Amino acid sequence: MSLDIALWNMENGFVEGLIRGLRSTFLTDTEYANLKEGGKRAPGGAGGGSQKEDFEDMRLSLQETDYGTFLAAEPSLDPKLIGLRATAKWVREMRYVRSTATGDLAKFLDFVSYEYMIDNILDLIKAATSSQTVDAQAVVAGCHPLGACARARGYPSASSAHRLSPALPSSIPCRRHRLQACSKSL
Amino acid sequence: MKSVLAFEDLGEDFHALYRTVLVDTPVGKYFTQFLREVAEESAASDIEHVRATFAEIPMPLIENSVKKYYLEDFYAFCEGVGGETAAVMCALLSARADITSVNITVNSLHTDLSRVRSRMVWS
Repeated sequence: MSLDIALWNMENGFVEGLIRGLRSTFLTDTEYANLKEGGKRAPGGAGGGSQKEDFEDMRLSLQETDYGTFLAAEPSLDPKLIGLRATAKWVREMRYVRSTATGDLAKFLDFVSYEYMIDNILDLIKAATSSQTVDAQAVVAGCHPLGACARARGYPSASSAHRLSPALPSSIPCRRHRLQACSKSL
Repeated sequence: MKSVLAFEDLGEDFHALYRTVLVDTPVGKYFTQFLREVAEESAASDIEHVRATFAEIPMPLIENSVKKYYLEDFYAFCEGVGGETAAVMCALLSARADITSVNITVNSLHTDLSRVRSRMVWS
C-alpha cells in the first residue's frame, strides 16, 4: 500500500496535474452571470444587428477565461459554430490527456471514446444502408471528432454512400486479435 | 491507402463495411456480439448474412443492443479497476442503462415488441 503511494506520481502525477489545471478552466458562476447579462441586454436593444452584438459581447466576456482564444479566428459567429469550436477544444484536451495516460486510465479514456465511435459507425451504417443517396461529406462532417474521424477528412470528393464505409474505421486503431471467425471467411 | 478503395456495387461495399467495422475497430466486438445474438452462430462469419441483418433489423434495435454490450463491458471494466472508479462509474453506468431501458419500455408500450423489451433489460 505504502509503495503504491510512493509510486503514484511516477505514473499518474502529470496527468493529475493536467486534470487539475483543466478543471480550473471551467467557467465560474460570475463568468456565467456575465454571459447571461450580455444575452439579456441585446434583445432589449432591438434592431437587426442585435444578434451580432450579442456574440461580440459573448466574445468579450469570455476573453479573460480559457475560452478567450477558441473563437478568435472566426469572423462571424453562430451557435452551431460555437458548439463545434467548443467541442474541438474539449476533444483536443481529451486527446492530450489520453496521450499521456497509462494503464487503466488509458483504457478508461478509450472506453469513453468508444461510445462516440459506436455512434459514428452507426451513422455510417445508416447512410450506407439507406436507399437514397446521401451526401457523404455531410455524414462524415456530422461524425463526432472523438470517434476518431481524423482521416475521414480525406473523403470530401466521395459523392455516394458507397464510398463512405472505409472513411471512418480506417482511422481507428486496429484490433486484429478479435474475430478470428470472420477473418477466416473474408 | 484506403482512399484508393472505391466501392462500385453494394456487395463490395458491405464487404468493406463489415471488414472495417467489425474487425479493425475497438468497438467491433460489440457489433459481432450483436450479430451472434440476433442470428445464428454462422451469421458473423458469412458476409451475405451480415448484409441481410443490417438491412432487415431496424436501426434503433441495433443501436440499443450495441450500446448495451458497450455499457456492460464498461461496467465490468470499472468493477475490475475497483476503488473510487467502481464506486462512481458503476452507479453512473447503471443509471445510464436504466434510462435506456425505461426509454425503450415506454416507447414499446402498446406495441408487440415484447421481444425487444426483454432483450434490453439490463442488470
